[in-house]
Amino acid sequence: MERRRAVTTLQHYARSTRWLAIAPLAVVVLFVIWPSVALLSRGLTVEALGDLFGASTMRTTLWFTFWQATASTLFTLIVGLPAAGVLSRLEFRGRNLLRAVTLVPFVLPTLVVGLALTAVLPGSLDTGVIPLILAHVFLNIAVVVRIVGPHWESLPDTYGDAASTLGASPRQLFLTITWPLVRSSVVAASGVVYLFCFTTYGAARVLAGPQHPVSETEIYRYAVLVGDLPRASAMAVAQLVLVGAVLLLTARRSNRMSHSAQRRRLNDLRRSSRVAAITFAVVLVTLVCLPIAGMVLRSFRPAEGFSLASWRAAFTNTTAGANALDALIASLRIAIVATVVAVALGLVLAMTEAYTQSSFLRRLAGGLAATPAMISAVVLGLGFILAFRTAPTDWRGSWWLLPVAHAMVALPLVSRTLAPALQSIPNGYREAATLLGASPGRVWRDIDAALLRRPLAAAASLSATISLGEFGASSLLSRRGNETMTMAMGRLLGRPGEIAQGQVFVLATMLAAMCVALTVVADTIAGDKRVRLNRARP
Amino acid sequence: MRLACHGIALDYDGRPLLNDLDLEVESGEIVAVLGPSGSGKSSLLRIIAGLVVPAAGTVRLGDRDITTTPPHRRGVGMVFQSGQLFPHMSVGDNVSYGLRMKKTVKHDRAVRVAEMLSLVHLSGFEMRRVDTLSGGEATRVALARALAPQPSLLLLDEPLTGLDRDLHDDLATQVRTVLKGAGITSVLVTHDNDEARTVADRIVCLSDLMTPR
Repeated sequence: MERRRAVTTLQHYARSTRWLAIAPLAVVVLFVIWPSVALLSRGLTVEALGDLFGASTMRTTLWFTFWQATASTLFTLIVGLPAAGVLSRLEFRGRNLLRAVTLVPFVLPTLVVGLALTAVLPGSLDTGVIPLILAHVFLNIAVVVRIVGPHWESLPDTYGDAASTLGASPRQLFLTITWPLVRSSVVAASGVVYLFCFTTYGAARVLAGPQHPVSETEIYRYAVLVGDLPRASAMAVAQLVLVGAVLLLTARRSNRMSHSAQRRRLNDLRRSSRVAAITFAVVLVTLVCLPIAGMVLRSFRPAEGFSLASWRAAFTNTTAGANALDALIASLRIAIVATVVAVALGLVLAMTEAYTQSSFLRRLAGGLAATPAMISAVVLGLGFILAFRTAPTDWRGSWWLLPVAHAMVALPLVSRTLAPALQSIPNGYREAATLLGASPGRVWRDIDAALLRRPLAAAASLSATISLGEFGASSLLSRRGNETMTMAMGRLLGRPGEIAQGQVFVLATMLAAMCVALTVVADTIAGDKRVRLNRARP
Repeated sequence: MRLACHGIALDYDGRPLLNDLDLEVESGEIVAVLGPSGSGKSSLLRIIAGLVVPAAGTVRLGDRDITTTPPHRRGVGMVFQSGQLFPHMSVGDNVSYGLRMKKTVKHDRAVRVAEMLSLVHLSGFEMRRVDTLSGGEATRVALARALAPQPSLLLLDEPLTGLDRDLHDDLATQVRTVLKGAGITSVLVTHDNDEARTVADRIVCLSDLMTPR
């Protein structure tokens, strides 16, 4: 009997999407790998490296970047772990609201957060190490809550009960049961936070001050202000190596457990723990809300009393640059293009990863989606400058270069949203639809596409948020005539005077509002028909 | 419609799982195939449904050879082990899905859905969300969904596994009544003797269907 070709729906998908993966492959090679190579060939020369280790300023910068990132990570854990604990282990009224509040900083651009802190810190303290670390804590609590929370939440109470009956004190219980079970997620979260703090840029531009440059601001200074590309490249290579080492050490191991939340009611706690939990929640809300409120207020009070002067000034044309409305339109246009590119590429990669039968293709797709995460936005921008200035890839003047850079920055996060969602669709749904008479194309529409609606909305809002607030690549690739909101803020920051400062706060307020709104809208659009795969019958 | 499988063979991980298997089911007959887990019962159903392609053998339904027909054109219905109700559709949309694929007009669909739901004693469940159903209800919706487009053959893959004892026995009787009422040719695979005896007209052991090697 002759062998017949297999025709399952998944294989059908794999066959029809086989060649699609070429597009993201080409794009990632051209816009991530090629710029990295251009950068390495510049920064890995003997002169450049000798210069790097010879010049004491560069060593000082790297050392400072390293220790501020370490300190920031530690303080973030000190605040973030209790936050994750309170939010995932306790049930109380307003829990969802508190959770939402702690996640707000995550969607705010780092530049905006830096500005928000300057609005509430006393003048003597508004630049330097302490505000920088504060900003990092503010930005990254959400990372800890999001990575550690689900893990901690799904720990069954029964383990603790079993340990207690075996004679474990609460402290021993934490050390012998809880900690070992959440440790891997804490390590993973620390790695991500450390990475963000090491490659800090937006917040550092505002807060670090000239005495405390970090590596990213130095790359910007050398590349844009001094015009010394070899030195900028050497700095970028040094940073790549240090960041790569951390990534390797903390690469996320996936050992998620069963996912049913187990929470205790606040009232069941002992009085002292209850007071502690409530106090902590209040501190957390204050820590998050105060700077944001301060920033909004500052946009309305350039000097004394309430006034709309800053807003009026921001929307007035000046010779120095575009007004806020033009910047807003430029930002939106770039965000739309970046989102379309990032979501399209992320979707194709997720489909390849989920459908292919070949483990090589699967790993390639996963790897391609993660590649841009290895380099910071500033370094990517520098790579773009180096790679796209000679023929045949001389694209310096092209309007689409910046949205493509933004799309590359967003791609890893988009793909991390889409790929697991697609993989978690049980194949049984597809088989059931097939046996009810649906053709493969119809199955894809009714099952895969329908169940991806929510993750797609989330991915789109995520990449739009990233693009709107993107400052690193933007400040290296900025050129006259198409100034985005963050670029305008960067320009105004360098200018003294109440009016310029007021306008910065106006732009920051607008940007923050847009980012929060986008997230809320994406949540509600897709939220009305809530499909939670993990709640469906197994 | 009469089902006839001849010489079916399937390898799994390089070793033969099914070997030269023959199975015949008369029109309107309910046959239970018994076997321990991992013995290839589900694979047999998936071959008949067209979800898995056998290494050798033919599947005939009535006077058609459907061995190479794609699964969505076979007219074979299946009740899956874990229901596989679509989580993003209501109960009514789940049951009418097969009718939509047949391009049945809207009014007829609604009538048929109501009829199917009343058959499994779930009248009025059209608008319910799938994740609010109990285990027994989900099983009955899955049965209604598979029967709605009037397939010529119904396959049941351990449909009652995982339900508690009382419900299980009760539902087994109900399933038989529904299948007999529809007069549909059915193949049930299970590892549960009692279930097989309650539902089926005839019981066969998977190992007896194959030529020993």
